[in-house]
Amino acid sequence: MRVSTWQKWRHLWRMHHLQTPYRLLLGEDDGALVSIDCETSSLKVKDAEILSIAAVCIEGNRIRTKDAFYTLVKPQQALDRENVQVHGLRPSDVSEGMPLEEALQKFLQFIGGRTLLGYYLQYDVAVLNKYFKPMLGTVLPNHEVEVSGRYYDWRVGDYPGAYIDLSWETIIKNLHISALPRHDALNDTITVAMMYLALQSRGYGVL
Amino acid sequence: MVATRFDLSHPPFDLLTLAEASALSAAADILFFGNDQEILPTGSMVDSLYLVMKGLVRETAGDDVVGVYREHETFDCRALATGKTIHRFVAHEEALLCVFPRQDVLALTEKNPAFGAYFFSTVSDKFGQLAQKRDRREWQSLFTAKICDAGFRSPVFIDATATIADAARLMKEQHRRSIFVRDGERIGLFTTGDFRDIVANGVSNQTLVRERSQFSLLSCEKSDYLFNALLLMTQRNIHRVVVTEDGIPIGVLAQSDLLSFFSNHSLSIAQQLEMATTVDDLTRATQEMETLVATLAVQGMKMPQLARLVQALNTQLMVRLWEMVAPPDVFAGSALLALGSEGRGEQILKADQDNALILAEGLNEKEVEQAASNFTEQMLRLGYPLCHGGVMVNQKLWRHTVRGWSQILQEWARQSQGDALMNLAIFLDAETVAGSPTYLAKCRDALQAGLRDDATWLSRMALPIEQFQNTRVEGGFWSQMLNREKDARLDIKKAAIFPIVHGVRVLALEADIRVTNTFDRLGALASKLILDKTLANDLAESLAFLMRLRLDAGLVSLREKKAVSNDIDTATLSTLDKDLLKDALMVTKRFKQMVQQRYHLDRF
Repeated sequence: MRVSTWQKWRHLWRMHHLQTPYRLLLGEDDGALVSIDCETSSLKVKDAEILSIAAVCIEGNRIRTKDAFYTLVKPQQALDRENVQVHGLRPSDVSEGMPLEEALQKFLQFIGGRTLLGYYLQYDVAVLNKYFKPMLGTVLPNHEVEVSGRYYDWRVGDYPGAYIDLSWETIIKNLHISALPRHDALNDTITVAMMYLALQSRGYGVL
Repeated sequence: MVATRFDLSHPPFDLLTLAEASALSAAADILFFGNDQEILPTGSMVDSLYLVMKGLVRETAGDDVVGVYREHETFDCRALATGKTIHRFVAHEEALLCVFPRQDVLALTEKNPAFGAYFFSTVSDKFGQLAQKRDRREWQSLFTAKICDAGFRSPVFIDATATIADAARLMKEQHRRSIFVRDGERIGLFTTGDFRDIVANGVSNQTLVRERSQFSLLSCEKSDYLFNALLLMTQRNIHRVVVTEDGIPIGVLAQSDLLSFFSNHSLSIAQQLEMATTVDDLTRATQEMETLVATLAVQGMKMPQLARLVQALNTQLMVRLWEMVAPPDVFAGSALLALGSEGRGEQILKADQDNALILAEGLNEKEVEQAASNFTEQMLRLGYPLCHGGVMVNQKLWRHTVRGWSQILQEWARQSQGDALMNLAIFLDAETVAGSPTYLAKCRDALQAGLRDDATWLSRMALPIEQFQNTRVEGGFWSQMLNREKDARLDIKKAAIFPIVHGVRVLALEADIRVTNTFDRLGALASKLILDKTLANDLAESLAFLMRLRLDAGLVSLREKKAVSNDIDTATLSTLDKDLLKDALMVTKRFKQMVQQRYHLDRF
């Protein structure tokens, strides 16, 4: 993976600040990618509580849906009526969820030191880091790949200077993939993984 | 809410229970392949079953494309059993595949017999499964048919002040079991059932009909589902409901109307043909035949049986017509023959006329000619197109005495090429429609006696089986689908029906099997051990399936008022039908190879 000096330095800095039990775990990178997605109670990072976390590994041309990670998280506060409409998770759905602490530990076990992949990944990572920073001593050290960014790079080569629509539906359409219904966070991580494989075969994977 | 993560609503996965589908879905991974990337090399071990989510996959044997898989289609079913693929699979267009572990799928095939049958059954079992599906369609028609489809009768009214005796007379005249009673604004119903009470209670027949009628009527709107009418009758235990249009009574639907909608009415057509005295009467009957065929096909009647039924009706029609146009001595002194597919009883929709006459000695030539050309003309009026090859009674070539026929048949057999050969093939399928069958038997004896007892002769006879072996209909068919050509049509007559029918015909000729129907010939060939029983079964099922495809396409053409042809638009076929078509073409190929070897056709 080609990373800038700044990124390399930042990675090292974060690894250095990791609490000991996590340094080993997050140092493991087998070259696979992990597509991740969270559903939250709000779109503002400050207010957002995690309601579900999903992650799926991509190895070569295979999406490991069979061994995917998905868990509902029991929120600390009552859910907002408005946001129920956005994520479709009702209070009764998440009340059976895992305690947040446990969910985050399991998530870390799953991702290890692999590169993270997502659609508007910045937001998900920001929400996760809100909890991880006190836990790990630093934010997630993992490298990140933004699928809409790789899509932009591919498109802009064909249409230099044009406005490039980065909406979910447009990316699906132009990459000719078969998106899963937007039913839960896991389906979205799988769809993002499919986007990534289509981009990878066009020469726009991880460089 | 989606039941399973991956769409498993297509065959064979639609046979799984929800729990089975969810478990299988959870065990699946996704694979991505770029253009022309190899998925499975020839001879590789296969530990998965692949379902195409997106894209196009081609299956090749050497340089030949032998299969194409698109969205919702599954491969490699053979490798599921053997664990090894004999062909190569390549992504023709970028493909996303859902990958199911072979062990999980195998476990399901054991747990769920219907699902297992899809993978492990012989071709003829698979077709049987399809037939079961069609049975389900029959039930569906009950739920989708509207009351207006059932054909209820228009209403007959009587005034409420008429007497019961008047009502009885009106019902007798009009052949009705129920009549409407008009009483000012009120509408009532008076039925034959009411007479039971009238007689039992000694009511005078001069009583006003108003007093014995039912005025609180149960009704259904004309646009309502037939099923609702059935439900109402069942719930209230009544025999008929009033059919209304915007609340106004327009007829009565009886239980018997309901029943006859779901069974056939071939008997009534036969009756109409029997009672016909003019060509116009016959025209009406033939129009009803088309409706009958469409109904029975939808209800899942099997093709060989449906074809026989149509043959019986067509035969009756031709007899009646021949009787109408031929002078009595010509009718009595001749045998009218149906030839080709009509003779074999494999024609379901109206096809070109193929007929001939065998005449007694000493008939008036002029009278015969006039009757024959009149017959051909009237058949055309009834909707049977003229035969392009002129195989019709109005042609002198197709009217002979027994002696004349014997000579000409032997001459055709001697030439055994070109037109003579095709004419002979057509005649081999002759069936007597009207007149004495002994005429035809004598002609066949003469032909059989004159047949040369050498293998080259039969080889030449079998040769046309190869005549449509161009790329367009065979190997080219799959590449056509690969290239997503707009024209994904396949002439199934050339590709499969003709090779099967002709091959079977030649084998039957060699064995002197005199029945003409291909299904019967296959049965006879199998019992004489000339054909392997499995192959004979597969051929019969394939032919029935192909006839069904042709019929479905034909019915669509008729609905759209287009000419019926042998072209099937493969793009419109369901996954299952495409799968079965693939199997039917494979069976045809296997049979052709068998015939080619038997008659050493590679010598030509």
